[in-house]
Amino acid sequence: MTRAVATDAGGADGGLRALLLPVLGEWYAIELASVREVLRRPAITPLPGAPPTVLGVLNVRGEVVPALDTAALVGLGGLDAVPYVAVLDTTAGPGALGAGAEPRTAILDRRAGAPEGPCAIGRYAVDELVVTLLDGDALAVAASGAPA
Amino acid sequence: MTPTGHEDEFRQLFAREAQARLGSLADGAMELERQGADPELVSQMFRDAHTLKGGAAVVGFPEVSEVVHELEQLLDQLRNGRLEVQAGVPDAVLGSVDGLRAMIDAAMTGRPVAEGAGAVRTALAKAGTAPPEPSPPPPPTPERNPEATVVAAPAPAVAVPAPVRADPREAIPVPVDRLDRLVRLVGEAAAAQLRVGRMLSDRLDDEPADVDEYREMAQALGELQEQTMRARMVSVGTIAGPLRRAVRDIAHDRGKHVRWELAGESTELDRHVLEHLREPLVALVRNAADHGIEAPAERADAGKPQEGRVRLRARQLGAEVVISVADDGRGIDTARVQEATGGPEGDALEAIFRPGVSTAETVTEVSGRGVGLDAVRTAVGALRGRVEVRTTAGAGTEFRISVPMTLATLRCLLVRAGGRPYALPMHSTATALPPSAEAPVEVEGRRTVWLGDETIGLTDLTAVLGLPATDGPGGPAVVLTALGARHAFRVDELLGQRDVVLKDLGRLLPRLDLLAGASVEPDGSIMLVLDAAGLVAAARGTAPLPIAAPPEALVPPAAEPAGGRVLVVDDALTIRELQRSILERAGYEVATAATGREAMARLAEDGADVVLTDVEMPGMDGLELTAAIRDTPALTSTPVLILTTRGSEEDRQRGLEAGADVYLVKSAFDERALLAAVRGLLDSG
Repeated sequence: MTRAVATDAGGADGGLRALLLPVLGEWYAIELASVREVLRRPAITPLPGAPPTVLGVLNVRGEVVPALDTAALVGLGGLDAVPYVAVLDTTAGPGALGAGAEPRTAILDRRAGAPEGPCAIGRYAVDELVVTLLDGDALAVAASGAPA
Repeated sequence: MTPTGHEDEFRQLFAREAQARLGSLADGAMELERQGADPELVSQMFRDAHTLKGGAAVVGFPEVSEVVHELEQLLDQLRNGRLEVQAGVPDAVLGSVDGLRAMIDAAMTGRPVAEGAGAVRTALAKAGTAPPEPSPPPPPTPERNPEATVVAAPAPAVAVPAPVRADPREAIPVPVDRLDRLVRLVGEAAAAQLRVGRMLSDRLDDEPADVDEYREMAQALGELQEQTMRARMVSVGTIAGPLRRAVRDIAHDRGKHVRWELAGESTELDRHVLEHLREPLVALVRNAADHGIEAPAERADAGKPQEGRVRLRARQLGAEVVISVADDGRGIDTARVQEATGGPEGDALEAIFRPGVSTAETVTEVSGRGVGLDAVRTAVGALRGRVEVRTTAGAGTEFRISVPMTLATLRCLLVRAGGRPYALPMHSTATALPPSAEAPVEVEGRRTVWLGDETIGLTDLTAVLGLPATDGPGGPAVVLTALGARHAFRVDELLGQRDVVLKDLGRLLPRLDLLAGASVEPDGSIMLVLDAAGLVAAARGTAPLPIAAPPEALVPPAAEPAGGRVLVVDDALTIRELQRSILERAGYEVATAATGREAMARLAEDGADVVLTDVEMPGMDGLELTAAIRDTPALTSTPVLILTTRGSEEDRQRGLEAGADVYLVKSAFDERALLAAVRGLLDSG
């Protein structure tokens, strides 16, 4: 169920180590340094009264961690299934970002235009993919409903 | 100070120790005032000042050290009999304590300390002391031989080496976050132990409880968990000093004679809870001394001793600690409050907790501090506690604060709704009604249910939580109290009652009104703990208050603090625990038994003032138990109250014939009826 995040995804000077999350056909990235671990088949407990950006909470080694709907946070609607989550540390505490398929690591070193969309801070090309880099702290703020 | 790279840490340690020493000095000053110069007391005060002086020097606060030296001189004169304990001396010490607190606060934040030093010297000047001897030599350094400096009294203090054998009473300050981390790690270890147990069972087909090594590990971890929780506990006595001081200062200012009494000071509760109770308690004792206790002449006219009494009493009742502040003053003038608020007189005691309520006698204002009873109730509510008041005209007032012993665990009633388990905080749970209790009746299109002689709203818990309705017959209803109202929630079933380790949902989430937190269960799943105020607000279609309001006083104030011992006999755990909770909140000591035979064994061992029993139980049923009690000479006069679902006249007759004193039917049961019946039995006994 638990998978440690691989850290051997290269390390070229100037590149940013990132975890890539597939979300409804798009690829999003989170800086790898903020990612604690990736969990497969997370047991998420839904929260009554929670906004659509919140999937629920899950138990991460005894800690109650909010699970967030990455698709809802970036304005893509909502995830229809959550086979994986990436647990990351933000300045507002830990949170788990839902992913529609298995995440992978990569080095982001080729810019691919200006970032677009909520919480986006960069746009990169990885192989044949175009990846949007997200700001973990901005995602946390968006999830909490606090003004950015 | 010798540079070590840990100056801040040492200064923090010094500040914490200084607070304790200054508190001890203030307590000593008030004892001096009460009993005069007891040599042991004066020596202790001298030692406190001496240690404080040395500590200040070591951490690089020479001005503080110098000023403490002057206080030490005063105490030395008292110790050597060169100065009598006259009226000005306790004031001088108390004024010095205040000034030193200000100095240390300033020194810790890099601000000038001159103002505090001036306050100390002004206070000391009033004591009529001989001129202080010159300041001590330069502060000692840690390298000096400490043994050589302990002899002469005025000599500067230095760090005394730790004894080879630790004194069991010795304490060291530990940062709270370190304790919190320890608690979390122990919790994780306990969760890991459960996983090991499951692995033994799944992979080796071993029953974990049959494996010695596993059992020993579980036992050690259980003890570790309990001791770790204990490490966060502090005794009520640790905040008694400032409370006594507040009473003393008010009495001094107002020309009153007030005796301070403290009972149960060794009662322990979570440091966080106690810290947050400090201000409400200061407000209550100040109120008692300022507005409760009459002036000496007024007391004399009323035929009372001129000296009034303010009493703080703490005791543990189950998982709660009850702290009462009582005075023997004039009582609250409920007619005046009623006049000021315009409400019915019966609600006057409730009205004093409303914001802005202030009568001509400033009943809810605490002089000079602006802390009202509304703030007291809000603060106590934030600790998941409640505050109740009872008053008798001319005889006094008692405020009773009940708070959980710790916020790390929460006593909960577990229920199932929509197929999922949920926890409801017991402090907001008034009672549970069985499915067969009463058919819901509709009032103005809303579902309601009878509770005693009133109707209250009824809502399916699944509807409030946004879950699909459960098929099948309705289950029991749980009555929650919040926002000054009661509301019943239909659930699938009651699962029992237990303490849950409450965890918050993380700062990442917005405030969710329906939830108080979550608990990680032994199987790794998460159980949600629901918020009573949010549920009641949602069910009634009202917006919840920004801060969960404290529950209404569930228990009518007893004429006297209830003190009897009640034995609750019921084979249903939930009913048993609900009854225990109700009775303990009302101040009774409660023992429980699950069967008639167990009840007889308990009665033989410890006795009881009242037995409360169900009828339907395996083995010896309630009727047989009642008859057995009546047939046992030592127990024959013990009152028995039968509480059962059997409501026919024939059943009632059989109960009374068996020897029951009271026969209550559960369908008409509410806690007020239960408490009234128990109280009636105790009074008639």
